Amino acid sequence: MKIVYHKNAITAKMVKKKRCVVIGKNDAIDMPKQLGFLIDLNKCIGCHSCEFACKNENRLEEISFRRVLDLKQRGNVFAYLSLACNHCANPQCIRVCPEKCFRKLRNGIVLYDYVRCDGCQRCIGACPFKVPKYDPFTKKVNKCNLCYKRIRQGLKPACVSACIPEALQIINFNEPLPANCKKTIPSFAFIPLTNPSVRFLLPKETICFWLEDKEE
Amino acid sequence: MFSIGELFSFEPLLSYEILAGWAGRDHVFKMELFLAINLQQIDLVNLLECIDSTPAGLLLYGSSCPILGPQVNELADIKKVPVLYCSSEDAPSQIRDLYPVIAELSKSGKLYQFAQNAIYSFMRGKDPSALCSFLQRRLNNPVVVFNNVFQEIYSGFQEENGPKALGDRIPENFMEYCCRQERDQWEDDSFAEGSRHNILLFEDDQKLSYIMMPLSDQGYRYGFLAVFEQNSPISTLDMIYLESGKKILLEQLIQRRNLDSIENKHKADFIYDLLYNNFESKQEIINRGKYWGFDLSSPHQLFVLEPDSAEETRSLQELMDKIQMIACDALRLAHCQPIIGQIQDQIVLIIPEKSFREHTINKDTSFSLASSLHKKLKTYLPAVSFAIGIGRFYHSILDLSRSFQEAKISLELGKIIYDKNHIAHFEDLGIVRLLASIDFIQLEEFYREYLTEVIIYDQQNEGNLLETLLLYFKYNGDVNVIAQKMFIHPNSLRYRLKKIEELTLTDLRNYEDMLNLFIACKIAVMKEKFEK
Repeated sequence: MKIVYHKNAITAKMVKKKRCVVIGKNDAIDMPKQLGFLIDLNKCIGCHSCEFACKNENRLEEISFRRVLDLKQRGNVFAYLSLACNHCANPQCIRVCPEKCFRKLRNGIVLYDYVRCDGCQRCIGACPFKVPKYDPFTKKVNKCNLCYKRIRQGLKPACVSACIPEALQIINFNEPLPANCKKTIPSFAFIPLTNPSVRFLLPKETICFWLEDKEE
Repeated sequence: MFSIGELFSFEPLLSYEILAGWAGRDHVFKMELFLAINLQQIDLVNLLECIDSTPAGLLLYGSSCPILGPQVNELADIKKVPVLYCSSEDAPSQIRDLYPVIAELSKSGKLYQFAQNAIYSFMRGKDPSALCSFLQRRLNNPVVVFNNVFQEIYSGFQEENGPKALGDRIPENFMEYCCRQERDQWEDDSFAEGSRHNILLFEDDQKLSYIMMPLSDQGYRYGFLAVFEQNSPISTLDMIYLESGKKILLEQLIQRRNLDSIENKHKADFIYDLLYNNFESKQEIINRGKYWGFDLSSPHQLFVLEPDSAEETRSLQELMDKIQMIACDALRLAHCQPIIGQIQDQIVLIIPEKSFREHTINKDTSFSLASSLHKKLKTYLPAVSFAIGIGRFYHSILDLSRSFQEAKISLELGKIIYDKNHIAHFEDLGIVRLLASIDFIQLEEFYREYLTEVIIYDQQNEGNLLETLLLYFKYNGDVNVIAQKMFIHPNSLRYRLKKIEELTLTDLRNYEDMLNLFIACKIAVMKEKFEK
């Protein structure tokens, strides 16, 4: 039996659309964690402490999980960028690894199982950030595990602990993020594909007092 | 002066069972005309005679509940003589005792106020099905509880008592009808959370009016309490019954949701672990799946569904719950037993292979199932846009994590390639899949190399050469179709294409040039969507 839509049953025509979205109390509690990095480009002085701390923590010789890049503008370095694994929401490494070395924990950490790896390097090709590193000594790939053992003990990752100017922070992406943080910066890969768990606080524009004089 | 219905709204008379003729509950109660009959002293013939003499009502009392038979029921209904039953031998004296009190309350105008308290305390503690049955008997009309997508969850009809829920009076597309109506009413600000009086109009011009009472708390809608005016119109006293029933039902639905949310949390954790490769072996997945009633020994197809909630509803969680219920219902109709889970603001649907037509999964069967699901969702939630991503099908359950990532990529890249309401299969993404993994600066460099001149020309001359080129590739270079789409003469189009060739220093008949321009156009679209 079909219904004919009765005119009287429509109480009123569309007047306004409600646009408010309220998330219930329970929603926030039920949300899983997604840990990631907040990088403050204003504070990073390029000291490479994070890089050394990471090497030390993971006992690395040939390779380094974390690297500090120079961001240049008109030939001058205007900021430093410290990058490691971004523990993406859609990790490509999980998708391509035939040995299933990668998995994502409930706190968002993309964990790598060293034992299973056969060194095929597919993950390196698939990662838009080229995060996994091939270790020629072990003939296997390795990558940042966000110091999950330290996190389990309630400690910060080694790189975050070692950052003296506190440019590197660890945050939960399912909690409110700083209002002025950005999802991407110009030298970053196309992010919609993997949705990396990293946010940037961009450097403030520097004021060059002498430039004004020069122009005059 | 008060009616039979009003008298029987007080304890202990509330617990009396209504056997027949309740349509006469609005008749004025007259003590001298009300018959109380001991069941041990009467037979069926006498009972028929009693009803035929049209008393104000008939109370049967005695140790065992009588089965009156259709003859008595029919006569009581025709004559509108309420027939009630009470097992207590004190039933007649209870009525006699209560009579002066009710008469006094009626005189003072406080009858409904006291009745409300009595009804509420009597119904409290009853489970939802029993409550619906009680309300149905008292209101003499069908009572149904719907969830927030208008699926029947409780009804006053007991299956063994004959027809289930209004027989065939509730039409098949009632759910769709209500959703549409709810949207209209929700869009109207003046319509608050109060009860709604609506009319169902059938094809044979028959009308059926009903009252729909939303069961809401703190901005979350748990469902609706509906009463259909099939047998008698709703009175003020009926509304008191309904209001009390609504409160009790809401309490129970809140309690049920709280319990469900704990179970769902653990289920969501299992699905998360399954999708993010957190199990060691296939056997572990199968064993853990059994705890949740999932058969994971066979291969599964995976869809990821994402709503764009900007246009709709108050609570995001309410929307997600609604989608899960509709999806579950839609797939069940297609003989699927899906595993449905929510991961953040996306819904994951894991569908076993045996649910598919001829038990084979390929791109076409997956796509057609996703299309039917999409259509169903759009019917019930027309204001919400839905995107569905489909991963590749793998024979091993261990590869579900791979399929999940592919479905998510399809969903994300589908937003770039297609419109809001899209269904994207991983295998259909084509060149965009490769382009997406390249550094954006390099992509932009490539795009500028080919299209900068075209863009500058468009800006300086208010032209639309870039649009022409995009349409050229979209319609496979068919000049007539493109000219029609652009509302221009084919010769104008040829001129424009010539101009593009001049500006880009390419030849559109050369495959290599064509491919480069095609990729540059893809990047232009990606850039535009991404910047939005």
